[in-house]
Amino acid sequence: MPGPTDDYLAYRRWFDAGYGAIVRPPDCTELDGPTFTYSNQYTWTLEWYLVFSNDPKSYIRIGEHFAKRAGLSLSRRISFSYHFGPTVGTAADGTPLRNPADPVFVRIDDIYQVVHLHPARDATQHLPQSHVTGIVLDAVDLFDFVRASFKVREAGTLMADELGYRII
Amino acid sequence: MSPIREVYLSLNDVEQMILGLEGKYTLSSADFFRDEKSRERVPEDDAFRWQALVDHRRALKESYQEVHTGYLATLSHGGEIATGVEAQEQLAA
Repeated sequence: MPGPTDDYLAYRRWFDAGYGAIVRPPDCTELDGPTFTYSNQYTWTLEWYLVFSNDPKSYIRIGEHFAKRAGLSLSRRISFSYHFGPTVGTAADGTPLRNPADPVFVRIDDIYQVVHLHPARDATQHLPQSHVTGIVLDAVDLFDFVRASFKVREAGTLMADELGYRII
Repeated sequence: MSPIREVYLSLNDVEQMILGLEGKYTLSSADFFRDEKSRERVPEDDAFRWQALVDHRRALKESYQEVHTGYLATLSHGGEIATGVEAQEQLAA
């Protein structure tokens, strides 16, 4: 598990340090910055959009949600979604629109199913860990994901190369 | 200044956002969690938000309950003081 899940303050210390080390490319802007929705020290949600204005127009969306472990003074990650893909359209507030069939460069999430990867070849596919080698899907660091996306845009490489995974 | 934002939602805010999702998909939150077939039409990003909002609602309700219980305890404690030793001494004086 990347990042501490003890509570919000521990997570924020970790996030702030990682965020401070990120160097965004010139064409990369954030929509409102990373946003933490917080209701108590054990329950918070992070949503972070990074949008690239140069062609190919694309965006990164990071989402992580944490809630309290039953009976313990600790949190756990309930769900997450790391998405990097072409921008198909934008809503009035500038948020990239997304439909399940839209293309992706890669998306890793655990929504509806155990953690899985949506590959570039077919965004509707849900590849579980058993079909992916080289990385542990639910241990991918969100900052590694962001940096890999930057590298893909800069060098024209593939997310599989930058994150170090292979689909089997 | 850091662009990192913190948003503190009230219970009412959360309820309204959940109602918005329930209306958008004509699906109750209970059915969203219970009925796999019904929730298939909810895109993953909205599913992510929905689950998060329900957790926030639960956390806020617990916090409100703790505050309410604490308040009632304060009232009860205040009542004891009024009828306790101090009050009797004041009366005696």
